[in-house]
Amino acid sequence: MNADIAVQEKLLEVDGLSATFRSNSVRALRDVSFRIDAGEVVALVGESGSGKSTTGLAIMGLLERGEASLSGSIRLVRKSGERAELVGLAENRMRSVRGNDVAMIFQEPMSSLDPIYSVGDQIAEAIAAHQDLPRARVEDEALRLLTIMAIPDPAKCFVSYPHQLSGGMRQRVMIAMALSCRPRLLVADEPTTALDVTIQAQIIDQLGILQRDAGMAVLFVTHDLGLAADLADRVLVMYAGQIVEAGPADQVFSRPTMPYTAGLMRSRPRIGAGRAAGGQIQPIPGGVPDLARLPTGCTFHPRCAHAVTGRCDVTLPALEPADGGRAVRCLRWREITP
Amino acid sequence: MLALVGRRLLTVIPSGLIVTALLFFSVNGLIGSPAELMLGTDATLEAIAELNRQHGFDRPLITQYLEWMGKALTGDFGRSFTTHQTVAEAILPRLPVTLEIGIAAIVLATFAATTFSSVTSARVVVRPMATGLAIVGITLPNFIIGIGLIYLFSVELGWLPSIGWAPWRTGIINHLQHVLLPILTLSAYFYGVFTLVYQAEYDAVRRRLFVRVAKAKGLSERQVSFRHVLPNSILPVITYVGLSLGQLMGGAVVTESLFSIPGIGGLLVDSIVARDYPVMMAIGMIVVITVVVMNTAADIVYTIVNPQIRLD
Amino acid sequence: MRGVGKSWRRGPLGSPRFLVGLGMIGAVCLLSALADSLARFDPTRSGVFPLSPPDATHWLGTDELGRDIVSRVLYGGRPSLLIGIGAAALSTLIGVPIGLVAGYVGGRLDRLTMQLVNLLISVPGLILALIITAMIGPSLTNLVLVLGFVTWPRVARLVRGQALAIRETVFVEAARAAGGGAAWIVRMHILPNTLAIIATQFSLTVAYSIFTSASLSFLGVGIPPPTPDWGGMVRSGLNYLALNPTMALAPSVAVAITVLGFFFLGSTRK
Repeated sequence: MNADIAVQEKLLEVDGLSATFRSNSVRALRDVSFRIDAGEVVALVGESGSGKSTTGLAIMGLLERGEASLSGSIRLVRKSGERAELVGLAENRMRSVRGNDVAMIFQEPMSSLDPIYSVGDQIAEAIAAHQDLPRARVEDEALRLLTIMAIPDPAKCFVSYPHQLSGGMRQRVMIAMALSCRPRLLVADEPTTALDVTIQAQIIDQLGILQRDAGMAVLFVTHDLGLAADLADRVLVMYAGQIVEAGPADQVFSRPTMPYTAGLMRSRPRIGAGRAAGGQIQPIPGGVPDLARLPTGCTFHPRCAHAVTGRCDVTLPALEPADGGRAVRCLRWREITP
Repeated sequence: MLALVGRRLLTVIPSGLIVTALLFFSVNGLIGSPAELMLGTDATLEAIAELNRQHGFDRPLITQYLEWMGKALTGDFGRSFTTHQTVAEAILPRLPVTLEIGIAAIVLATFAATTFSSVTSARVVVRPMATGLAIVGITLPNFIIGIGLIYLFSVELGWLPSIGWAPWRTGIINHLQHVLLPILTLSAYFYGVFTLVYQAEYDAVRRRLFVRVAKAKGLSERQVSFRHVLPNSILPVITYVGLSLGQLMGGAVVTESLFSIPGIGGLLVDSIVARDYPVMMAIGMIVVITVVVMNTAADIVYTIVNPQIRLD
Repeated sequence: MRGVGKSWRRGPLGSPRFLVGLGMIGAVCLLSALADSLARFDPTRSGVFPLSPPDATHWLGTDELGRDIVSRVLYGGRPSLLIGIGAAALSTLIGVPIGLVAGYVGGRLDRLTMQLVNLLISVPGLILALIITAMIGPSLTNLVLVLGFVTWPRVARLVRGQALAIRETVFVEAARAAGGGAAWIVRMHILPNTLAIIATQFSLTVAYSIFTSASLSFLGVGIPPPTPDWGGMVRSGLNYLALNPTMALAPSVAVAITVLGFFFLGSTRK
């Protein structure tokens, strides 16, 4: 891929990952491959139901065995330097990875915290899960994390219960909790979608600072292309359980190759975009396909303006390298790229 | 909130009056006059009429009910037809016995239902076992469970005394040996109800996001289950504890009768069989009033803990 | 009728729990029906060998009066089944119309009915049944009447809930718009769609009634002796648990199988 990133240290390597839900035999992920280097911010974008969150959960080992079956490989370089295969890892070893090497924050801060414990207790629990410290040290550490998160009155927040805090505060608490064991990778699943725009900006800024300071890699799962463009070094675009385009963020967003990415770009509201240039919101026609009944050929062809009968509805395109260090899954990208 | 609780508490009065009146009128309607009960079937009509006049049984039922209720509120339930002691004297010494067994059974059932269904190791085996036991507890009548326990622990294994009662003063060990089987017997039904209620809530709570977050911290399944899921799933069980106290009396009647325990459940059966009308009425009233009060209490607790649910 | 009725017929037969329940009930009914030809002894005639342990003649031994336990357990199923099914039928006859009317009419009538129903439900059924039975005397008919009276409120509450839900659905709105009268709507739309729930509750009521009538017999206010009756047999067997345990255990198992069977039938969802 990109030459200057390739020299960096590999942190996570996902290879041919597929996930099938047992209840309805839906294949939520199909042959997903990507890598994340140490300290790198990678955005995973796509519409809801495209498999973004499932990818995050798979990395965390949070897809329960009874719930979904995984195949393929997820290799992670742990803090110890050990390279662990997370697919099929024994539960007790997976437990030492979760929250320790990889942490995750979720979309709904309002329901992420247990209503019956104080915030301090819940952060302390996360610290104590992986570090053998005396109780007083654990509490000091929890307080320090709340301070880092720029929470106005950390001592008060420490003894508060979740319902006493706003959504923004709760998400800060969640981030503090996620950072408690200094993970090398943070999976952030739409962390600001449920928040007000101003709060969203503050939290994203803080997350950016913390990420740079700690040299932590982030897999940023979002449907917000603007956020992805601002934050990410690289972008992965998902559609119907597959990666359809991948590459450096500036490249992908300035000149999308895959018609789906281009469609996503056109369908988002932009401030100051030239209306004269026809820059109005143009939603992609149709809806996300039912994963249980995927179209033949390219899964995007029924919604694609460039689809050609006899080709796009027959052949499933492979993810092939394109210019600018990108990869794209489209049969016609050479013909249609301007 | 306080006004709400107060209003709710006030509804105890009409409900209590209605159930006690229903009980009073139906019993009186069914048995005819208590005088016939007292004198037996071969009494002369004159004797019955005389006794009716003496005790005021010939007055309208509503007058009798109000008089009975007025006296009952001062603790005067009359005298037993059979032993001639006051009803209070008959009931009071037996009340602690029933309370001890009843409370122990409810506590045991709550504890067993919540922990057994929260166990995470060997879940595929333990969960169906917990559910199976719950179905047994709900469907099998108390006396059958009791007989099974007596047969197993007293007759076959010889570990515990079969029936009979040993008060505390005969020694703690002796006492505990005698109460163990009755408590197990009485708790079986409640274990079953609590388990089904708890499991439904537990499964719902497990799907909530904070449980996933707790797992994402790196906690073990057991820690997640006991620290986060259990405390968040226990509320409906607590509500059911309140609602169950009425049913507890039904169970106590059978259990005390089976194990020959001198509680008020056994006394109720004796009084019914002996047609000892004042004792029967008094216990009946205690039961229905407990039911009404406990149902209201359960409602109030639920409202306080769960403000989304509004009472009307 | 078609839609719901069909899923009711197809659904439970696929469930192992339902099939197990059906098997248990089938066996109990068959054995009770054939008691005359299966029983090798008169269940009420005393014998000369009281409390003999199981042997080739008396497979489960004899009771304290020398009566054959197998024969008594076989005959003992009859009153239990009659009481259970009779009480459930009565309970359905009272509870369904009340529930339908309350649910369909709604308003003040509904509120009053439900207050009474909830009050009755909260009173412990066994104690209510115990007091009433003791007063009016234990006979088969009386037990059916008492248990039917004790159980109807639950039926009414369930049917009322279902009627309320169906009343709001589109097709009832459509029927109303098409000019159907209240009675017609209840008969054509609401009643057919509550049949599944009524059938389920019927089975649960049978289970509860057998459970309660056995408890009443055990407490001494059930079917009077010498008629063989499971609850009463357990009571008298209790005194001889060490000498001949089958005397109490055999009828216990019979009650357990019957109640469980009806419970399984009634608790299978969909």
